[in-house]
Amino acid sequence: MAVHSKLFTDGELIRNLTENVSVDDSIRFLYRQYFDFLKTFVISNSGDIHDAEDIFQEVIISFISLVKAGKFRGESTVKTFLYSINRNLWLNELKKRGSSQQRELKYEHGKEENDATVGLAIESRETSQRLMAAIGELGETCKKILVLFYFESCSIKEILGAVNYENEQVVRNKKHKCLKKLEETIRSDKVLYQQLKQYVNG
Amino acid sequence: MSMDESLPSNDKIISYLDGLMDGDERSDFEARLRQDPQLQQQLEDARIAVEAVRQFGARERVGALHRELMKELQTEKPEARVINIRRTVRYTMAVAASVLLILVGVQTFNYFHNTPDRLYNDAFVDYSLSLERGVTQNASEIEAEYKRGAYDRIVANVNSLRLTARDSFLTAVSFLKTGQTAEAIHWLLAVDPYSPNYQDAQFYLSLAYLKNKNYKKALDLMTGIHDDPKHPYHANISDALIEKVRKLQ
Repeated sequence: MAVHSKLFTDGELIRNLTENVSVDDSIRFLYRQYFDFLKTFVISNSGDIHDAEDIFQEVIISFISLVKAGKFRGESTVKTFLYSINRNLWLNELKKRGSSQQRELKYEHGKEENDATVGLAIESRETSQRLMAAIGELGETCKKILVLFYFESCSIKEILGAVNYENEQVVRNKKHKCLKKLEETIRSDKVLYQQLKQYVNG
Repeated sequence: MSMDESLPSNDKIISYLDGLMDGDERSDFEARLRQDPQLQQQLEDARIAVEAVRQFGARERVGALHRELMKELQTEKPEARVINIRRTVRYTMAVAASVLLILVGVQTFNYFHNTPDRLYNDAFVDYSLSLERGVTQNASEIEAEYKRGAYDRIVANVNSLRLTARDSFLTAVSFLKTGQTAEAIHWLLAVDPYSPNYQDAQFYLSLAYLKNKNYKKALDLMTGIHDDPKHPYHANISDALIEKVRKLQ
């Protein structure tokens, strides 16, 4: 069954993700356009289809985070950028798995890139569990309010419709308290703090 | 006036961060920001927290679509392969008998030896809610579905933003029970280390990695559980199991 898919240029993709427009369609486009291309690298370098799927999911998460943090400035194509993230994530995974698979990748070492932006993706994956733990400490309402405001770009009025509070000011106060609580939690985890700091300042 | 009292309130910092200050207020704030390292630090901490939310949001959004898209991409594959099979039918037929013989041989070998699926099935223990508490008025919808064995419905309707830590864990086990190992791993990795189900998640994650043929990660977790006599799944990870998984590497 052919799947109707929207087509986006690189510029449209970046704008969509930055301005939070058609985000789901943009993610679908990235999967349909680039999964087959990127899985080949993983499968031809000691991975299987499940590895390729896991790594691709991380690639897309990292790509969105990097675009939203303004770290992708269109100096390469989206395809090249995704390839670099995919390659670095998979090489890092192989390093963690052990030396036998690493030896098979000797020819790749000469192609290692010192791309700090792509390096952020590796650290982001490494600290993902810490991130989930920090957000998990917030509780469901805080999590919802912060994600709706800072990721989905919803207005306070729209958030009021999604949570059970009296008025917009109460939502606003709650949002401030939630953010403060998250700041404190992240400050207590130095590894996570440093990783996120690189996104903000790096 | 002390240093702290002279600082703008947290509300002002967030208003600046959210772009809600008007021209004069913004200029005043930025002038002060340039001269005040403590204020710079506070603003940076707020930005870091916002970045955490954005990265979490990206994980949630992609995670929610990943399974659907992988299913779609997998169902498209056979159509693409038909053409290749027709083109290469003569060659394919020529080797078919040999491949069949090899497959039969491999199947026979696997039957008598270790396979990840076999080890997984041997080690898997059902996670049951029945011994803990019944489905009460306080039970979540996911707990009720889980108790009924409606795992397909749980994974089909999952919306992670609304889930408690416990529901997230039950969702992870439901993915495992419906054979969606990669998704199960994703959800098990997300189980909060402070959640009461964290040790359950470690056990099921080790099995998920085993099934996914990620033996190194499976062994790391299994060894940790085996070496901890207080771990609730300590008795489920035997020396023999660890040795068998090691041989699969």
